[in-house]
This record gives sequence, C-alpha cells and structure tokens, in this order.
Amino acid sequence: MTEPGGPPVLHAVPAGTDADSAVAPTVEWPPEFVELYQDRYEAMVRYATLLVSSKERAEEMTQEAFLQLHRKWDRVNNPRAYLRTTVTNLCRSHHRRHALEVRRQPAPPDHAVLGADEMRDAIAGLPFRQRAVVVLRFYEDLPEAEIAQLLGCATGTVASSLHRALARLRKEMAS
Amino acid sequence: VNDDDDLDRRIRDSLTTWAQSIEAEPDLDALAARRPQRPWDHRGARVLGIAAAILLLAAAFSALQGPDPETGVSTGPDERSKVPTTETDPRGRAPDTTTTTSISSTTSTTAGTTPNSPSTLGPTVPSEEPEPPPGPTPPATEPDGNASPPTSGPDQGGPPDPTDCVTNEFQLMEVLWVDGDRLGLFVAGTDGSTQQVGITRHAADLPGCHRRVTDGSGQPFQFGLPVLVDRESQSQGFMCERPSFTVVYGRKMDDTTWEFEFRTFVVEGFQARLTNGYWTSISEPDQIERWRTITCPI
Repeated sequence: MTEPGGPPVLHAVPAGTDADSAVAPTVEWPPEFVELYQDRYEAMVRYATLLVSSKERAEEMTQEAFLQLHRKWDRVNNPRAYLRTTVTNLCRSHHRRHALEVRRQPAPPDHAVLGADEMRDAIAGLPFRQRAVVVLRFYEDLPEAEIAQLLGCATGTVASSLHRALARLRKEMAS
Repeated sequence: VNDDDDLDRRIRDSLTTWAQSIEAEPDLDALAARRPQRPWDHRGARVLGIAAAILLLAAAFSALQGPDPETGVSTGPDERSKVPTTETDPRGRAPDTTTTTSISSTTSTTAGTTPNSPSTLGPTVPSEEPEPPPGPTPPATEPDGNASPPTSGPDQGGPPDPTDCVTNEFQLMEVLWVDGDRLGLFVAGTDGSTQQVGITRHAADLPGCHRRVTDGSGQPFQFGLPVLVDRESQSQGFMCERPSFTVVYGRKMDDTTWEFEFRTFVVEGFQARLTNGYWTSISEPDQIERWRTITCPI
C-alpha cells in the first residue's frame, strides 16, 4: 500500500476494514521497520524467552522493544543492535521486578531430551547477568566485547560472569 | 561433565533446543494494538493528565468549601456574587478565573467613600448600610487562638489610594498556619502594618506536598521575599511540587467597609511566584463594581 506522495506504508487495519469499527488503529509503519519486524520478531522472542523463561513475557517485551524502536526510528543508527539491547534491558527489568518470583520452568514431558532440560533448568536458575552472558555467548555467539557493550559492563565482567556461570552449571550437571 | 568442551556443547544444545521449540509469528496488528492510541496513553501524558485532574478536583473541592469560621474567608463561590471573567486591566492581564471567589465582610458596606471614580480602579461603596452578609468574614483571630484581628491598614479612616495596593502592598507575607484546606498568612504593607488573611489552597493535597503547622509566631518579615521557604530547615511554609494558591487579602477601608484582593501564586521550587491577581471592593456580595488585575511582584 502506498500513500500518495510518500513512502509505501503498511496499515494495521486490513484493506476494506471500516476504520471506525476496527479495534486496532491505523498505524503507518515505515517499510524498513516492517521488514525488520518480520525478520527479527521470532528471533527476539526466542532470545527473550531464553532470558525470562516465559514465551508470553518474551513476546510482550519483544513487542515493547519494537514499539520503542518505532518511536525512535528516525534516530536509531543500528536498529538490530538497538532492538537486542532493548529486549535485554526489558528482560533485566523483568528480573528485577520479579526477583522473588523467579521459578524454574517445569520439565517438559519429552523425556528424550531430559539432559537438555536439566541444563535449561540450570541456566534458568542463574542470576540474570550470568544467564544473559551464557545466552549471548552460546546462543547468539557474540564475542565477549560485544556482550559487554550490550550489557553495559566491562569485558572483564563478562569473562568473570561467564566463568562463574560455567562453574555453576558444571556443578549443577555433576550433582 | 568431564571437560569444558562437553559443557559448552551441552549448553549450546540446550539453548538451541529450547529456542527452536519457541514459535512466534510477527503480527503488526497486535503490535499496533499495543501502540498507544491516544496521547494520554503515554506515561508522561498520563502523569500530566492525572496531575491536572487532581488540580481540578482540588480546585473544585476548594470552591465548594464554606467560609472559614475563623478567618471569615470564603473559599467557595458565593451564589450572590459573580466575578467578571472578561474584563482586563489596562495592562491587559486577564482576571484569574480560577480564583473567582467572592468575599464579604461582616463589617462591610455602609455609605462610604469611593476612593476612585468609576473609571478607575477602586471600590464602589453602596449608599446604604446593608446588613452583615452571611458570607465569610475577614480574618479576626489566628487559628492558634491568639487574637489577631486584622489591623487597620494605612488607609483606615480615609479613602484608600488604590495605587498603594498596587505598588506597596503585598510585597511580603508569611505562612502562619495550615489547617485543612486553608493557609493563614500575614500580609504586611510597606508601612509595617500587617493583616492576617486566609488563602485558599488548590493543590495542597497533591502527592508530594508537604505542609506543617507553625507555631504562629512566624518569622520576621523580610520585604520583597516570598513566603515559602525550605521545608526542612524552616518551621513554616509548605512545599509542593507545583501547587498554586490564591491569596485573599482584606484591607479595611473604614469601619464598615473592607476591600479584598485575590492573587494566585504558583510555587516554583521554594518560592512563590505571583502569576496574576486582581482586587476588588465588595460592599455587598452581589455588588461587585469592578475587578482589576494587578501585577505586583513579591
């Protein structure tokens, strides 16, 4: 859909829908934003889920991150990095708010991947920074310097956090 | 776990398996539904909206209050009086419509002097002596019980010069007490005469507002300084984030007539800034002759 005199935009309200009766308002999304959204949404939900252990929360945070990105779309130089940083920060805030409610996810019924589930539980039990470092290092395959930039800490802090996390996971797996 | 490589592999496998089990479809409609649809959905706008609503409620509440039994200052609208809202003074300042409060005096109105011609500011005193209106009376005593009737101003016994009001009066005041929705103030003229007045506080109950009752003795007046002071180091004053209040000042014109002035202040930091105000002479609540805005700095 193309607006006269402007860049092509997407509308949240499908064509032919009565705008007055539609629940969702008509929103003009920049095409590049839509492209990024469709390309990175699921990946961000997965990443956030690894950090908060809840897909529903992860989807909320991912959507919120996209909305924040949309509000600053014209000022963000690296939308992908901004998006991941925002999701990380939202997950961190979630951990802070619900520090006392952190619970390990129940084991899935598939016993064939029991070993992986034990590791999942162990990762979910890590403090947020250690957990984030593990996810960013082993899932996102980011170097320590980039992890440090993303988490807003020193590279040495990332290294020490990773060391402690691995030691803890090793201990958990050995027990 | 026997070695680091094995641990790393297990971590990667676990995270990958976990992530791959998660399916999520991008949905622009859902995203749009989460998008603030109205300006007040934004957090900042909500805060401002809530603050504005509180202000309106506080103002409405104040307007519904009856006369203060001690100060005699009415904080609510008198059905017999109306405050003009369209007249402006020669300086172009509009009357403060938020302070449309009329005040009558128990000692008010008699055949009296009119300090100014109708074309100029100043009260018009009725030619016949009315009964004391049922409305509020000028402050007669301090709330702490110390008798402190309004002392006569420099104009007592004769026609006041309105320019005194504009140029010399109200340059200082002092919070004496806080009682519910009222604040007690001392207002002093440059000649040293003082009067206790009551003010209507619009925003004293806002979150973050701090108030305290003083001992009534107050601090020495300092000309040209605002009333509101440090909330921690002083024994008087109150502190709100950004309250406004209306000062009602009564000046005794003669034995039977009082003149009142209304001024609205906005607290900024530890100071009160005069935003606008006007004065009038009320002989009968329904006989307001004129209103005039004034711009006296404090």
